[in-house]
Amino acid sequence: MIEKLKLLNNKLIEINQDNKLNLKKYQLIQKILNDNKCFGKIPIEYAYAILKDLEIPENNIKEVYMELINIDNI
Amino acid sequence: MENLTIEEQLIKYPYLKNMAQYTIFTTSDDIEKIKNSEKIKVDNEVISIEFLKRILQDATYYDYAKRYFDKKINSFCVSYIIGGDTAGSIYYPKVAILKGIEELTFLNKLILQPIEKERLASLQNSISFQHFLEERQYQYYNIVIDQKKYTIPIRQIIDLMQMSEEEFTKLCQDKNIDKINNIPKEHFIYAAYKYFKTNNVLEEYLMPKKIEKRFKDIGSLQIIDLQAINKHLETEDTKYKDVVIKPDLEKEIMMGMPKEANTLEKAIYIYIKLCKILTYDDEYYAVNQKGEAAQKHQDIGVVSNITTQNNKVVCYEFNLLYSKLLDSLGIKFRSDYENMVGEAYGAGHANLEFRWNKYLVRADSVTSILKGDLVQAKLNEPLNGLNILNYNKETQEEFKEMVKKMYTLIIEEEKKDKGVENVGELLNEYAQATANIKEIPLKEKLDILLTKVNTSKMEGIDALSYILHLRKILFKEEERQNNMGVTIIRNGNVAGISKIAEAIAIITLNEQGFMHNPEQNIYYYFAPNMPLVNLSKEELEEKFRDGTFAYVEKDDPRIPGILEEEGIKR
Repeated sequence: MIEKLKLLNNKLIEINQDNKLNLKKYQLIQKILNDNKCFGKIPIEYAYAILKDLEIPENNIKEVYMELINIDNI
Repeated sequence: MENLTIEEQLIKYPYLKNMAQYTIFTTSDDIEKIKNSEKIKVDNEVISIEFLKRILQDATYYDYAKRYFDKKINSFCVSYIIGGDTAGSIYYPKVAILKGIEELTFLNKLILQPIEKERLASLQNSISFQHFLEERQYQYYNIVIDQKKYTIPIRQIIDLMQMSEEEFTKLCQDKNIDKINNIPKEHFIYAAYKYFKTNNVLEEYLMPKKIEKRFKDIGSLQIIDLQAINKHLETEDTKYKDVVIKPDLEKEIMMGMPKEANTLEKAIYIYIKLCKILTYDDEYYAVNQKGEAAQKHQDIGVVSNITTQNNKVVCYEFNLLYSKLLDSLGIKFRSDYENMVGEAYGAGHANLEFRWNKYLVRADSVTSILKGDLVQAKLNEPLNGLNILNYNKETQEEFKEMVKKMYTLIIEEEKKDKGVENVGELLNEYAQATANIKEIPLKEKLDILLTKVNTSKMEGIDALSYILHLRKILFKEEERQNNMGVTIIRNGNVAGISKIAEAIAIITLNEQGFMHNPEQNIYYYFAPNMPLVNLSKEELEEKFRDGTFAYVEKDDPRIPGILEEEGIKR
């Protein structure tokens, strides 16, 4: 799952080359996602915000998050 | 009661005649008079002014004091005799007596007659610094320090103690100066201090203030760290010798250890790696380390079977593994078995103390079962069981830096191929860059927690640690206080064959708040590898009353709303 998120993020970086604010945001997300276990370390509010920024549909965010905080990811 | 005079008592009890050489015998009333007289404080002594006055005003007292000051007798005290024994003894060190008299004259509480002035001068001369030099400066002091024998001229010791403040500070702090009179610097200064201390020089002689201060400064251990000297010169433990560490475990521990690290850094590295690889046996925890479940850990042979997969240990097994590895580094150590004498392996909590150069370290991987380093290291949280025992602040800082260096190295190794940066800083920056950080409803968080707990397959203490970790990332501090509680307790009614008891968690949830509306508390019982079970308050309380459930330690946090009116239950 984390690898999929990284791919999504990479696409968003490409798309936002001309939008400095968004580009910075996605570059930050890229650094956060460098740690495959990041979702096991950050507060849920930040985790949800990242998933929303990565354009995960609202009604899927909870399910995706739960997969990301499996015991193996902590 | 006898009504004998002192002389008659000395005849009746001849062994007291010997004591009379250095003891003035008087009546019990007179002893009370001396003790109840006004006092004067001198350094750490509180001295009877009546006693001090008699030293100069009473010929007998002066005679005894003079013989004491001139070392013709080893002590001088005033007592009374009762039933053939002495009681109510009054005694003061020489320097305290003299300083007390000098202070009284300074305060005009004692106006000296000519004969008293002569007596005072004579006593001062007997224990003057000049007198000390005449007596001792050509003598030698023999001492063994860290297994090396030294014979040091007292004159050299006195020179050190009289050195200027500036010179002494430079001597202590300049790392380019490693010897004094061809003796390692720390050893020489230690010898000087021990000479003064073991010979009670400051109590026997009037030393210049500079020397008094020098003695105090050295003893504070702040200007130079001598605390580790003569400690842990050899390892007296023996049980570690029979332990053979499995190759896969040793490889995992040593992998990544920097070759250029000093010995202490290596010891720290090994400690952290052990805490990361091993885990605490939850059954042992649940029975509060007692009884049949604890006995299987008392076989030393079990330790030699510990591997990266078979990694459940208790405190004394960790201790044994660690001590084996310390020995391989050439470090001397001593295990401490709580409240026991000698190597009482398996009888109680164990940790160890070791020394490397000036550093004295205590290593205790299980300061607390859920927050000890066996858990902390896995979460990359600050360690609390690896501690420097030195009082010297600089030594403490140096040690903390070494721990930080090794811990950081190990954490970086864990994420070596990911190039991960400090997540806290990244989150702060991210919070400025996004508009999507929002409150998550408490209900949703509780739902996530229950789902994860119900569906995750984990073992023992690791399962409980996972729940505690989820609690931390899902809930804010306020929510953890008021809405979501996790309490680890013992369940003595275990379905399996091989366990006597197990550690379980009681999860307490309340959207409105435990204090606000306690009737709305919902309780879940969590045991590893089992689905969550919802319990009513009454069911839970009954299980405590009938002994099925119990708190492991008497000061463990309580389950909100349970048996509060009945106090602490076990």
